[in-house]
Parts: sequence; structure tokens; C-alpha cells
Amino acid sequence: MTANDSESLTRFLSEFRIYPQGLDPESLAQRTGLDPADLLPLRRRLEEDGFGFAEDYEGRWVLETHPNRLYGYWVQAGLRCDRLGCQVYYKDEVASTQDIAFELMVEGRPHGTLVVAEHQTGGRGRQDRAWHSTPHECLLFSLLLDLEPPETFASVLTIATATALARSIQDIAGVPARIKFPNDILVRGKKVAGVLLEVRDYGVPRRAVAGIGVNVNQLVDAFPDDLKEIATSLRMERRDQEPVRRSRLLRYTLRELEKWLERIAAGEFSDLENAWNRFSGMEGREVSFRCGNEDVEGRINVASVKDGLLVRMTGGGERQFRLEHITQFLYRDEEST
Amino acid sequence: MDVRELKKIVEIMNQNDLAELEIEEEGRRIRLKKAGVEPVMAAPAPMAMPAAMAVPAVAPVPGAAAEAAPAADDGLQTISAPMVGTFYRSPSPDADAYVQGGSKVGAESVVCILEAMKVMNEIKAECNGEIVKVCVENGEAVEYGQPLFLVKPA
Repeated sequence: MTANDSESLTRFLSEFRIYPQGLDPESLAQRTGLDPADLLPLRRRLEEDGFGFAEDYEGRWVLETHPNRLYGYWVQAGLRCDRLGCQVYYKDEVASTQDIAFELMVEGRPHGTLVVAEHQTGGRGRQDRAWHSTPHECLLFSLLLDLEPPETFASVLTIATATALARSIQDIAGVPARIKFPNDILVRGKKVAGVLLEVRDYGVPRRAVAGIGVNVNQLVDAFPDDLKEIATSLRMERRDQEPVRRSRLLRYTLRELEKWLERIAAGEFSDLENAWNRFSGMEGREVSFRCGNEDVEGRINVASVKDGLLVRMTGGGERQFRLEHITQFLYRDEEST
Repeated sequence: MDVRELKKIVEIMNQNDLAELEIEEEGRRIRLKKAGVEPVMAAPAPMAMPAAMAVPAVAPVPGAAAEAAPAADDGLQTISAPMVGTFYRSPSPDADAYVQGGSKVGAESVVCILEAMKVMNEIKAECNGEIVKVCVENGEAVEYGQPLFLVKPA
């Protein structure tokens, strides 16, 4: 499919997201600027991909069903972003969306370029542990992001991404999300999503790749036994156990993240900081972590996106720690249980 | 030259964590460099301290440059930290270091890992040459732009 086709499909589908009650072909042509003669072939093309259209008694076309696939043109339909998702690379199965994103970075693709995969066979999580993926049930994507702010992009972009994702999970799936510092999202104490902010190569242009993995629609049998106690999916945590639409979750996350990135670029951190703190609940907690070769113990007085953690040290005094310098982070009350 | 002036400059260098300082005024040049592989003090230019010195001009800390930037006169290049993080010399605690003094590196050679926000980022040399100094201890927290390695260009 050429880029042109893809754009036409996006325009076509966008109208049906605005008019769920349907549109007659004439209005559709008018609104999209597409040639009326192209409408039927486009519809047929979409039907081949699994979209289902019906016609009502007034001759309106109604989008009745859509496939459980994250085709680029479908993700872009109704995506309210200027930059994130400006280019979408859709893959059925990949070793890792991160690898593809870094290849695209080397090709010079812009900030906001998105890689989406239905299934990942070598996805990376913490300590290179594979993200357990089942086809079409996870949301797996990577985004090329400008290194902004240049000095502290790793912490700021991780927090912005995690906060956007937590909000999206809460609003779209309707389940309570919590950020577990630095890069996990938990629902009722179990891991449901993770964020990786990675840099690999400093060839020009320098960009970071944010990798996101979300367990969306798996049921309990999809998890291996050793993960059942510590991992969950959005669907499993919903009261009605109904599947969550991955395309909505993705678009909403991108929109939220773009909003935060705009604020960051303008030097405004306070709203992000408040949102992050609401999701992470770090302030006031007793923690232990390492900073460089030093063991640190104390209570978090302030958690700042820009300035890091201000800690009331167990041994007395207050100290500031950059978020990037913190490793082996634990809540001491959770550690003891 | 005035020894007290010199002491003052050394103090400024210590306060600002400067490894090297070069001052040029009215055709006279003085260069100070802290202990390392190089002599403690090198003064290639005619010696004589100007009375009034523009100290603030030399205050900024290591460069914002993330790529290997040429260091002053010794012909060495610096590999600086492209991000804030924790510095590891090897891929895992029991593995060999990526590089040590004397190792030859090319642009694509991995020289260390910087861990940030639980992600292990491989850092590449981005220059050709031989490592002459590892500036940071394993496991140390590093700042953006902090020198990690000195490289003698090939």
C-alpha cells in the first residue's frame, strides 16, 4: 500500500469516528475531498482488512465493526496529535519494536515516529527479561522522541510517558493505575504496563526511543505460572471483564504524552509533577535506594520531575538526588512485607 | 609571578571541579592542569600573572558536548556522558570491562553502560583511537557532559 492510499484510508475512517451513526457517500466524498469513484474501492479495501460496513435505510454507510488490529491508517484516524504518530510503522510480529525504532532513527525519521507491533518475540523489559506478549492482546509500541530537555531527558521523558500511560489506562479501561517508580504501571499491586526510555546510538539525529508495553486483553491463562501473581491485564482488572480497545488506548496515550511534551518544551513542569505525584504517591514514603556506590535510606519529602527526590535522610539532614541516579529503589514498608 | 594568585586560581579550579584551566591575557598565557597522567602544572607560555583576572569567564563546568570533543593542547579527545546515569564498565558485574587503558576503540565500539531509569544504555566511543584514561569509577553516578574516558586519536 502506498503512503497515499494510507492517507486516504485515514481520511475515510476519520469521518466514521466523528459520525458513528453513519454517512452517505456524497457527504463522505465532500468531507474527505476524496473522489466519489474511489469510495467503494476504499471501502472494499477496508473490508478486506476486517472493517465491517452496513448501509441503513437512507443509504448511509455505517462502520459497524473494526478489526482488532493496529494498522497505521487506523491508528491515525481521529488521532488528535500534531507530531506523535505522524508516521506509523505497523508490524505483525517483530523481535522488538525498539530495534525497528532505532533503525528508523538512523534513517532520519522525525520526532513522533511510531512503531506498533501485534506481537513481540524478543521484547525487552527490566534486566532484559522478555515482555510476555500474546498476539493482538498487548499494546506494544515505540516512539522516537527528541532529547528534551537535553540534560535530563531520561527522567523527564520516562515520567511524562508513564504519566500519560497511567492516565490513559485509568480513563480508557476504567481501572485504577499507579506508577511504581521509575517505570512500571500497576493495577491493584500487579504489573500491567512498563515504559523503557532508551538511547543506543548517538549518530545524528540524536533521539531517544520510548518503548511501551501494556497487557490489555489477556485472560489469566495467557500468563505463565510465575507471572500470575505479579502481572495482570487491563481486561482482567475490569469489573465486566470486557476487552479494551487497543486503538483507543494508544491514541489517548499519544494525545496525553504530546500534551506533556508541549509543556516540557515550554519549561512548564508543575502540572506534570502534580499528575505524576498523584499516580506515584511517592511523597512522604520511606524508601531505600542506591545512588552511585552509596546506599541511601530516608523519607521522600519532595518528588520533583526536574530536580529529583528531596530526601530526609534517616541519619539526619536533607539531600537531593537526581532521578537518573537512583537504582534499586524500594519502599521500606513494602520491602518488609 | 605571585604565588598567592596562583593559589587562588587553584582554589577556584577545585571549587568548580575544573581539571584544567587556561588563561590568556595581554599575550601571556598560563595553563594549569590537575594531577593525572599529565604534569601538575604546565606553563608553555612566558610566565607572569596578570594582576586582574577575568575569573568568571572560565567558571562553566564541563561542556554540554555529548560527542567526543577535542581537549585542550594535549591532543586527547574526551568521551563525555551523553546523559545522566550510573556508570558501568562492563555489561554485567562478573563480565570483563568493555575497555581499559590501552584498548583500541572505533566509532562503533561500546565503551560503557549508563543506567538511567532502569534502562541499561550502551555508550559508544564515536571516535577512533586508544583509551588512555578511564575517568570514572565503576558504579559511580555521573552527570551530563562529565568526562568518562580520554582517548588518544588514531
